[in-house]
Amino acid sequence: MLTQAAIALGNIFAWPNFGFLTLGTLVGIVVGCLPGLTATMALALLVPFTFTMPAMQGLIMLGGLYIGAMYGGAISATLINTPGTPSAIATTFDGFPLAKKGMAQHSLVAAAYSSMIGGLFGTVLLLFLSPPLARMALQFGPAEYFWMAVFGLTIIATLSTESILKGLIGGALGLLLSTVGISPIAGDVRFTFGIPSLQGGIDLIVALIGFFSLPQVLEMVEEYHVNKHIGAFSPKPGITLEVVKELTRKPGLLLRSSLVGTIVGIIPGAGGNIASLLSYNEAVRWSSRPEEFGQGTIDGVAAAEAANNAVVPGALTPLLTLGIPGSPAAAVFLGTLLLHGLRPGPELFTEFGEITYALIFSLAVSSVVMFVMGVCGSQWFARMINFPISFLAPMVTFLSVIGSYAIRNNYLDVVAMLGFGFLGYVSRKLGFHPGPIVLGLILGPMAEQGLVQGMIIGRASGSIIQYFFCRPLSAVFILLSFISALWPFLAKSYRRQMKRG
Amino acid sequence: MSRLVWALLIFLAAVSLSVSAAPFPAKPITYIICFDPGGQSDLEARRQQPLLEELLGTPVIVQYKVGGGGSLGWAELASSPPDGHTIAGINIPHIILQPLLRGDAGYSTDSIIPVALFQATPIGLAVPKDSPWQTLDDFIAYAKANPGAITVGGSGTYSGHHLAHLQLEKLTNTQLSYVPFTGAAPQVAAFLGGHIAAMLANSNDLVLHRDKLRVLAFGARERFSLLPDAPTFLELGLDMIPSIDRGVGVPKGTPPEQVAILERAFLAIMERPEIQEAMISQGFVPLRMSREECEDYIQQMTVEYGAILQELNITGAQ
Amino acid sequence: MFNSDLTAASLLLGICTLTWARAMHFSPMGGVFVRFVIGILALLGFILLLKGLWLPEMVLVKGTGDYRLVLLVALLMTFYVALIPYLGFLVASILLFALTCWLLDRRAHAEKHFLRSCSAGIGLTLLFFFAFKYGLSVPLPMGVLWG
Repeated sequence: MLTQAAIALGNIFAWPNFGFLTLGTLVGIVVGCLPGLTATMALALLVPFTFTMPAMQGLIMLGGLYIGAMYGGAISATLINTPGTPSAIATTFDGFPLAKKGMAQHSLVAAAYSSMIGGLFGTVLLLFLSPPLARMALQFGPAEYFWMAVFGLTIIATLSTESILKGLIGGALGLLLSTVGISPIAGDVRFTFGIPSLQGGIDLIVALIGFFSLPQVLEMVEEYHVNKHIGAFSPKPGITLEVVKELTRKPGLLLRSSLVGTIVGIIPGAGGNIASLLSYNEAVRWSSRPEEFGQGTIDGVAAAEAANNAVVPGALTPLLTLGIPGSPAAAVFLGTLLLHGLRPGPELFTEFGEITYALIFSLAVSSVVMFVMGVCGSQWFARMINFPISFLAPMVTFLSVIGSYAIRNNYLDVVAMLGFGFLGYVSRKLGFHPGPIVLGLILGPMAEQGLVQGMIIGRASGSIIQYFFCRPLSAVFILLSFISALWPFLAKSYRRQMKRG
Repeated sequence: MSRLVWALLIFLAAVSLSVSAAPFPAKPITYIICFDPGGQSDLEARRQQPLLEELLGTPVIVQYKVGGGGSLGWAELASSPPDGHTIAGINIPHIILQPLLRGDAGYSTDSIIPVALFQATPIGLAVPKDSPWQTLDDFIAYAKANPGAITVGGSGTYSGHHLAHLQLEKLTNTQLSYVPFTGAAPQVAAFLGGHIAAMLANSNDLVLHRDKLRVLAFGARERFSLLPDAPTFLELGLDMIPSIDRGVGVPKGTPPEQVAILERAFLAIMERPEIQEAMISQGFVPLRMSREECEDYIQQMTVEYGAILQELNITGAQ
Repeated sequence: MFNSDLTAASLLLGICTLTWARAMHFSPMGGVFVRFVIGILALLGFILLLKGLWLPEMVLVKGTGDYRLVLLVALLMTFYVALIPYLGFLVASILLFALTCWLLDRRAHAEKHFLRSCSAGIGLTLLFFFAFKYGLSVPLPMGVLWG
C-alpha cells in the first residue's frame, strides 16, 4: 500500500498529469461560479475526453474539477448573492453582506482557505478510515433519512432571524413545492396542472436562482436613487494573510465544519447543500457571538465552504469501497471507473491501488491548487463589486436566465425562475426569507421517501411506530432534532442566567 | 386519419428529399439523454459518441433533458423536427408504460420511431449473501408462510422493477412488500445495509455487487456468463423475462432513408467486438435489434404490459 | 400601511384549499406526505391569521425605495423572457442590456456610461452564447426569426 501510495503521489506531480489536474481545477472554479452549471454536468462533459487518456490521468482531472466547482460557487454567492452551485446557499448568508461592506475579498479568501482545509480534512479521513465510514453510510435506512430530514428542518430556527412562525411557513411551502411532478415513490402525477413539462418537478437550481438572484436585482434597483453601487472595493495588501490568520485561530470552527461536511457527504442522497447548511447552523450555535452571523462575518463563509468541500472526499468514500456513489457527481466517477474497466471494492485499493490513491491524493493536491488560484483571483473578482448597478442588474438577470435554461435545456424553467424571482421579492417584503423555502425544497424529497419507504417496511415488519422510533440511529436524530429545535430558547435562558449570576 | 397524415408526411419528406437531395446528415446530430449524467444511458451514449461521429461524418452533441423518469426528454424528442438530426436514447418499458399510466405524459409511444435497440439489462431477484434463502423455492416458501413480510426493493413505481415484482407475485401466488427507491444507488445502499430483505435489480448492479449477494432468479432467456450460478426465471418454471432495454429513437415522421442511415450506424457499432466485450464485463447483454425488430418488440410488449395493467386494474386516468 | 399577516395568512389558506382539493385524489402512498404537509401549512396559516388579528404586523409599502423603477425593471425582465422564443437569446439579451442601462441611467445623462455598459453587455452576451454552444454543448434558443 505504501509504495503504491508513494508512486501515485509521484505520478500526480509528473507532467502532464499535474497540468490536467490544474486544468480540471480551473474549469471547475469557472463552472462552479456560473449559476446553473453544476459540477455533475461539467464532469459528464469531461468524461468523453478521459476515454483517450489513461484512467489515472482522467480521474485526477475529474477530481480537480469536482473540488474546484465546490469552491467556485462561493464566488457568485459573495458577489451577486446567487449560489453558483446549490452547495453555496449558506455562503450567500454572510458572503454577500461582506461584499456590501466592501469586504468581498475577505469573503473570497475565507472561502478558498476553508475550502482547502475541508478538502484536506476529508481526504485524510477517506485515506485512513474509508471502510468503517462506508459501513456507517449503510446504517442509514428510510427511517434514518426521514429523521435526518426532520433534523435538517430544525435549522429554520436559526435561519429565520425575524419570525420563527414565518420561517416555519416558508419551510412548509418549500416542502409542498418539492412534491410537484411525478412522485418518485408512488408514480402519482402531482400538481402539474396539465403541463407535461412540470412532470419533472421544480428543479432546485431553478428555484435557487429565482429566489436569490432576481430579488437581489430588484432590491438593488429599489435603492438605485441612493446607491449607484452595491459596495465599494479597493484592494489593500495583506488581506489574505489577515483572513488566514484569523481563521487559523479558530481550528474548532474549521474542523467541526469539515467533519460535518465529510459525514454528510458519505451518506448517499445527502450532498453539499445539506452539509453546508448544517455546518452553518452549527457555527451559529457554537459561536460566542451568534448575532454577527447574517451581518457579514467570515466565520459564516468559512463554515459553509469548509463543509461543502469536505463533501467531495466524503461522497467518494462509499463509492470507492462499496460502489455506491454518495452524490450525483460521484455517479459520474463510478461511470468513469467502469468505463476504464475498474470495479469498486477491495481490489481498487490493492490491484489498482496506484490509480485509486492517485484519485484520492488528487483531491488534496487540487485543494491546494484551488486555494492558490482562489487567492490570486480574489482581488480581481472582488473588483466586480465596483461595477455600476446599471450594468450589474441586467448582467445578473442575464446570468439567471442562461443558468436556469442550461440546467435542463428547458424554456419553461426560465419562466419558472422569473416567477420565483417575483415571488421571492414580494415575500421578502412580507418578511419571508428564501432560506427556509429552499431548505424545504431540498429536504422534502428526503423526508417523503424516508416516510413512505419506512411505512412500507414498517408495515411488513409488523409495526410502523416501532420501525420509526425504536432504532438506535433514529433515536439519536430524534434527540438531536429536539435539542436543535429548542436551542434558541435554551440559549436565551442560559444567557439570562449568566447575566443574573 | 393518422395514417393519412403519415402518408402525407412521408410524401412531403420524399418530395423535399428528391428536390433538394440533401445529404444526410447535413448538420450536427443532437443526442438527447433523458437521465442524469453518469447514468447508464449517458455512459452508453458517451461510448457511442466518437464512433457515431466517425460513421456519420458529423459532430454528435449529447444533450441532457432529465426529469419525470425520462418523459421530459421523450416529450422533447416527439416535438422536435423529424429530420433525423434529433435522436434520443429510449428505454423499454418506460416509453410504453408512461403514456399508458399517466393521463398525459407529453408524448405517446407511437410518436417515437425506434431506430435500434443495442442493450438489454436483465432484472434479477437478489438476496444478501448471508440470507437464509438459498433458492427461489426457499424464498417463495417463506413468502407463502408470511404474506407481506418480505420487503423487496426496486426502482420506481410502475417501472420495469415494479412490474417484475407484480408478475412475480402473480405467478407464484404470493404477497410481497414492494419498496420503491428513486434509483439504483439508494436501492443498492438500502440492500447492502440490510434495510430490505431482497431486491429486484438491474444486471449491471448485480454484477457490480456480486460478491455480496446471491441472485435467486435472472430475467433472461439463458444464463449470464458473469453470473453463472443464477438460474433464469424460465428455468425455474416462471414465465417471465423482466428486462430493461435501451436503444435510440427519432420523432415520428422522420424519412425512412434517414432512419436507415442512423440504424446502420448503430448496428455497425454493435458489431464491434470491443464494444460487446465492454458491455458484458459491466453486466449488460449486448443487443443488435434492427428497426423492424424493435417495432415488433414494442408492439408485443405494449400488448403484454397492457394486459398486466388491466388485470391489476391499474389505469392512467389521473 | 396594510396588515401583511392577514394577507399572507389568507393567501396560505387559499393555497391549502387548492392543493388539498387535488391531493384528495392521490394514491395512498403518493398522497400521505402531501396531505401531511398541507395539514401543517394550514395549521401555521391559521396561527398567522390569529396573530394578524391580535398582534398585527404593519408593513410600509411606501418606504424610501423607488418602487416605480422596480416595477419598470420587473416589466423589462418579463419582456426579456417573453421575447427569447421570438428574437432568440442573443438579440433579446442585447436589448435587455441596452434598455436597462437606458432606464437606470437616463436621468444621469451619462451617454458615455451608457455606451460602455451597452458594449460590455454585447460582448458578454456573445461570449456566453458561443461558450455555451461550443464549449458546453448547450445551444441557447435562437428564436423563430433566426431559425
